[in-house]
Amino acid sequence: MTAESGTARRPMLAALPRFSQQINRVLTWVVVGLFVVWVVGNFINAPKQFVSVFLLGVTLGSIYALVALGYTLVYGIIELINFAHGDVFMWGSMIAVTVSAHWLGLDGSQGWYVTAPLIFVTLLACIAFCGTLNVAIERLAYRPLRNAPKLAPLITAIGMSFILQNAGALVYGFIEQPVPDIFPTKPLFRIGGIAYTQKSLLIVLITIPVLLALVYLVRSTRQGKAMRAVAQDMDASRMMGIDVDRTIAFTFALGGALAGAAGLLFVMYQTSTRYDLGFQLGLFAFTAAVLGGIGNLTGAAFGALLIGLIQAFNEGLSWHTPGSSWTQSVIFSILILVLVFRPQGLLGEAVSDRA
Amino acid sequence: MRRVPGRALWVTAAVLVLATAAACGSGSSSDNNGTGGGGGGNAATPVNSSTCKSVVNPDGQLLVTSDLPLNGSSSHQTTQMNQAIEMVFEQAGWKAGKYTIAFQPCDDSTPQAGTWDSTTCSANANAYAQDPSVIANIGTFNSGCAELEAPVLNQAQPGPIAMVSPANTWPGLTQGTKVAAEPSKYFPTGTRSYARVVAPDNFQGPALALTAQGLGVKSVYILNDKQAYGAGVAQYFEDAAKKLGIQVLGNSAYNTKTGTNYQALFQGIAAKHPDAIMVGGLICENGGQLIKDKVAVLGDNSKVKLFLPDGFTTSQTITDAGKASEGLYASVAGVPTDQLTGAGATFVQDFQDKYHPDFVDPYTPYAAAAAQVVLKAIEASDGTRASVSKNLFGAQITDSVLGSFSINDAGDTDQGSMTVDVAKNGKLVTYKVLTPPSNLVETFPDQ
Repeated sequence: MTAESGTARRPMLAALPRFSQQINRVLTWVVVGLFVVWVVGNFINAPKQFVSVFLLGVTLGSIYALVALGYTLVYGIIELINFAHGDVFMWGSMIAVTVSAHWLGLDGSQGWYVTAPLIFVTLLACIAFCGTLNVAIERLAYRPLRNAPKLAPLITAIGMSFILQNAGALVYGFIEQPVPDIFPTKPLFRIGGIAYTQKSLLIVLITIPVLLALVYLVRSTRQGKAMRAVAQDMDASRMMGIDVDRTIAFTFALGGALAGAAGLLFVMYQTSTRYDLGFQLGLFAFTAAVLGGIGNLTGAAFGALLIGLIQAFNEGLSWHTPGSSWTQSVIFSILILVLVFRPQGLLGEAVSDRA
Repeated sequence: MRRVPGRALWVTAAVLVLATAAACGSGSSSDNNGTGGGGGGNAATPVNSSTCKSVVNPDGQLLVTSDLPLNGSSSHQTTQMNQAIEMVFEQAGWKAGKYTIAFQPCDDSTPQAGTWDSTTCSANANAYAQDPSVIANIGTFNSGCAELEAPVLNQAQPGPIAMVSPANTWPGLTQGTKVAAEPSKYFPTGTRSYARVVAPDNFQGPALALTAQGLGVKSVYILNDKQAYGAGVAQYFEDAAKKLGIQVLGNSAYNTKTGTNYQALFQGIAAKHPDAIMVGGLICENGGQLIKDKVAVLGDNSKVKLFLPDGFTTSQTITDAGKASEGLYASVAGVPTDQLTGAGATFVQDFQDKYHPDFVDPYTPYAAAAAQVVLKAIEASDGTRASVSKNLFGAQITDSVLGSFSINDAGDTDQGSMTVDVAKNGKLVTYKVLTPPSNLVETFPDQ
């Protein structure tokens, strides 16, 4: 849907005199070229290590994708960067701990025929809780500001983020919330001595159908059509009989549900969570959404995969690699580079499924 | 109609970069000026700060404060430390020589941080400095907090407030290090007023390295959290390990933010095939995850050994890391509570009888020893701050909770004992007690 009516977006620097367009293009290629050389160099340097780190990056990217989609859905429809989204995700992870470990008593000792249905129950609980939470946030904090200047809801979103974080700390305390390994951890195969576990594969296998279902929903259903219409023009949609408030609420519910699912997958993978989880992870997912082209569903998934891979490469590879303590710097540098050279994101032009 | 991300995104990016920077800056600088009041009255005036609890024995003339992080993962430990201090004062009849004393525990942490907080540390120090009744402070628990408090208390008027730490292990607080202006920046007046009863990290690093050598470790990879304490103890470990012939494959920093997954990091390390991993950091910096991911990638701790400094030597590590904690080695300054003899054993027994703790934490007897040092210094003094500070140095403490020891002119104890614990069946148990030989203990001239 739609779109950008109007002129195609041009990179920021294009606003400067014409020669800067050339500089822009050259710099873009230099950055991309260096990145490719670095990736290929690392592959040649240690191929086995590269493959196992790559697989890890795919798993991380899958979790980021579910969170990034929540950012992008909301941005697509009301052009708001919902900073509270990372904290909705944190709440998803907390609810997953409470329901799976504390209420249902899962601790990894049960057989899969017990674990699988109970995990599904946990998933439903996370989705229901986070979906409702996100709708409530929209109703209370964003809807009253829908016609206010852009900065107002943005600041409200940051405030919401702090409120959710502190509420998390109030309920769960300031310490880690550990869960036992509930997902199966048996190694599927080993590359250079490093095990690739069933758990890692499971994360990817759960993420893919969720993404496909989401794309189907936005592209091919009546509700999806309404979402795209509202994103394109709220007033015109209203004239066509679309209930705009309901459609926006539905979008928030969808984003919250995704965050709930991501929270569950994250905590099952990582086996612990804490009240401030949403901060770093939310920012990574936001970067992924911008990298892919904010508002673009496929772009968010693609951007998240890239961010997951870049994080894993940065921490796990050894040839000219900054290392773990630089991950944040690397990822936020990417955010800045994308905003400078390609503000529409990598897939920004593919507007067909913008919600 | 719709515009793709332009200015709004820029504003957003700027906001979040600033937010991240703010969140990352975990306090290291402060500028403080101690200001002071007049002499002491009859009953001590309580410190005017919301972080301080009520005064115990409020009729005492001279006020001793304690400054410990009472929130977060160390609260089990610090609560006991306050109880230990109170018990020592009570057993002394709230008297030090001809002076009567009062005790006021203060908190240098915030619930949000779950650990010490730089703003709170500075504010506390200024509050003590401004209360003329405060004669001495027992604290801090964390070296980073002591770095902020020591100069403020040193410049207090009239005269520096004596500070005795039961737990600070950063060497620079009393002696030269590779860091510029240590230790002189902690006593701006030129006269020292800070002492401690635990051996510093230049003993702890070698103790871990000696343990590693004893376990047949030939190569090690070191991770550090970039903070003064974590990176410092990692460096002391590295230097000692090299002297002991252990190959150091690397010493790099790790991301301490919640939610970080370390499997990629350990996959990179796995390619170097280390026999052991050493981490200079704290359990509250996502340490549980770090241990879990170490085990997930490199295998359990009997295969690739794991060595941790006292930032991890707490039951919280077992809770956070779960099964992955099994077999890790963690050091702590001093002698374990169950190996104390004489007055120390009596103290532990009395403490258990009085407070019925589930177990006595390692620093609890050290808090008692710090209280004994303070009592001794007040007893030998003329009741003024300057005199109490002066009497810390060269103090001979006989028959204390820790046996007999003395405080040298720098403010360090002559006891260099270190304990290395091992995690067994979900509990930290003593693996060995050792005193590193002087050739492994790195020292640098004062600056």
